[in-house]
Amino acid sequence: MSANPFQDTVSYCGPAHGGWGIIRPCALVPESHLLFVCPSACFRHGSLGAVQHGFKNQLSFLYLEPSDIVSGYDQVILEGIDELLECLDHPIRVLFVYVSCLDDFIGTDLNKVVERASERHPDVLIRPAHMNPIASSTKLPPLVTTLDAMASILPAWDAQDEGISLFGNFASIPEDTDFIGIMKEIGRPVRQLIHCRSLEEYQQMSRSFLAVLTRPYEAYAIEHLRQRCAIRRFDMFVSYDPEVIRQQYEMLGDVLQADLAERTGRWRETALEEIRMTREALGGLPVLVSDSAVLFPFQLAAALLSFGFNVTDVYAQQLAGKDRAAMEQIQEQYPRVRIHQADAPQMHVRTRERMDALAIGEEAAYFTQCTHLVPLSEDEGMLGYSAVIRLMQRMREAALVTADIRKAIEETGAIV
Amino acid sequence: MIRIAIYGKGGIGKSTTTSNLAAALATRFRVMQIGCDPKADSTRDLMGGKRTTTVLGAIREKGDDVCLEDLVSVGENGVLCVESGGPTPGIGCAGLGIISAFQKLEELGAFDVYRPDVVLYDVLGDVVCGGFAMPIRDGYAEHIFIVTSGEMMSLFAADNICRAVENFADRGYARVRGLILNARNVDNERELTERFAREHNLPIIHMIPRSELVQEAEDAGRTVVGMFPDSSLAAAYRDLADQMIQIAQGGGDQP
Repeated sequence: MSANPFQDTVSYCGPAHGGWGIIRPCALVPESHLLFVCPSACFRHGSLGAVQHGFKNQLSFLYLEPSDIVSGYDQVILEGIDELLECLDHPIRVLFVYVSCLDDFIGTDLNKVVERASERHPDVLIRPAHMNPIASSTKLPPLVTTLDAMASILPAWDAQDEGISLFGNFASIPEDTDFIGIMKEIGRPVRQLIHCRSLEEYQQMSRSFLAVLTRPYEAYAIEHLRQRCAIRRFDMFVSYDPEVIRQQYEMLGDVLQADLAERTGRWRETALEEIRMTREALGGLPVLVSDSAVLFPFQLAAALLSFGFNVTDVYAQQLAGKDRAAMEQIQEQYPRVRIHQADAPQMHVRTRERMDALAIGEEAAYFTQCTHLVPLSEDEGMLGYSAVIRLMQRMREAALVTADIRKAIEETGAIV
Repeated sequence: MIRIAIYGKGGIGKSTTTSNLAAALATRFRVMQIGCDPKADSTRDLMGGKRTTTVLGAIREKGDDVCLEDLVSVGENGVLCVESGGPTPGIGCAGLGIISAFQKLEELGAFDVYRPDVVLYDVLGDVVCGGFAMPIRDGYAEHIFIVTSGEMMSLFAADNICRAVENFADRGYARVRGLILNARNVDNERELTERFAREHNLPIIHMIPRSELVQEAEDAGRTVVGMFPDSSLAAAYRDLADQMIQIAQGGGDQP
């Protein structure tokens, strides 16, 4: 087994670090509001992100004083919820009550507090949530528990319908992609959180007979959902390897009892053709892969290497479990590929000269100040063969222009 | 100013011992007793059985307007009584409560204003978190005495306290100076406690005999020293007070 280049260390946080964060996905729940119960200095990044992404009116803060921490703040939360619901200038139907890391040692029984608040406000679905970065390295980091809180609003239905609900992707998987198109062809409407405009519409997500998980963060929430609902789970994590995607469709076809091979065939051919054209267009141009772009950067790098691209560097903050095999494969088969821990303190000290290379993801572009950039964050909009097709198209487009990295970072609006 | 912290297992008689020590010392010194238990019952016997306003309670009630007069009550023999207080049991953070109370006393300059000669900190049984170690940090108590009986659980708690103090040995915090044997009349009590003392290289400063006078005085909301000044038990508390002061001043048995 190859050495793990990732270590627990002092962290460097570059300007391109971050992604959707926790607040942004949660704010996608229609007719919802988020109340953060915390000391006044907490969530500054989240607040700025909310302003940047246009949902600042969905956020409120209930500041805790030191004396509240000593005495416990159950009552403070209850009264804060009362006050908030009284003073909001628009009706809400869902309220997420977030406590901070502070509560990891105070141990408020937030479930009970929320239960009491729900009795006082029966028209609002109130859910406890945790914004506790201190739990980031545990099995229940804030994003996982947030997704669980979001899914807890989904009801159990008397019967499931023929639909498919996508979980794990926050940005839309476009209508003109293979997955959405093929599902429509075989009479399987696809539901996505980002397209829900009302609470009722969102709650239909659990009515689908199948939950397709595109990224693993939401597995915990889906398992809880499955305990309450007759929804089935199918993992189809975003991949950029046509062979992996072929296998995914084969297994999905078994679940759906539909032959998807024929329907996906032309998409597969297009993907392979796009790969060929892009490899030709890029030639030996160094390609840098960053985990700010994709959840599994080593899987992407391994796929690109197998297609013949000149991948020279991979930037990742940590090694996601499902990415280990790909990293080890790269270490063994492509030892020249440099692996960088993106939050290692030495990343702060680097060459400032612009290098001629193409970065996939803003973080790699920032570190290298490379000439070309594929702007991509957290696999946004990617699934199925269309992920490969779109990535290849973007790589070719990026190779034709000199990137304005600063502008690209600003436009990403990454939340740390 | 001599600053002493009294530790020991919950229910072993720390508050009774501390209050009697305070009453005994108050005939010669200006004494302040600070109760560091969320139950806020340390100074009850010095206050005629009445509960006093706690530091945290006063902060909750008055916020920034709180002043020393709200926090310090004058009890038996003029002992200055302070209770840190704490949250409702089961919620909040009692350890942080002690830290907050100490910070407020410091902010208001309690020691500069009252200028006590002796400060006695009556601390909750176990050093379960940073808050309960607060009294032995720099600037607070310099000397620790542990109240124990010969019962196994009491000695176990004493051992735990010694280990907590030992953990801070390189920080210049307070040191354990000795044991106060508060007799429960269990078998071989003296021998068991002496063995523990030897193992920890600590002296047994004094043995306080078990006596019904304690209960009688407590029922009246008084100290034994105040209510039964001529009793042998009151004399024992006075002797104990003398020895502790002697040790704190650099004399007596030093471990």
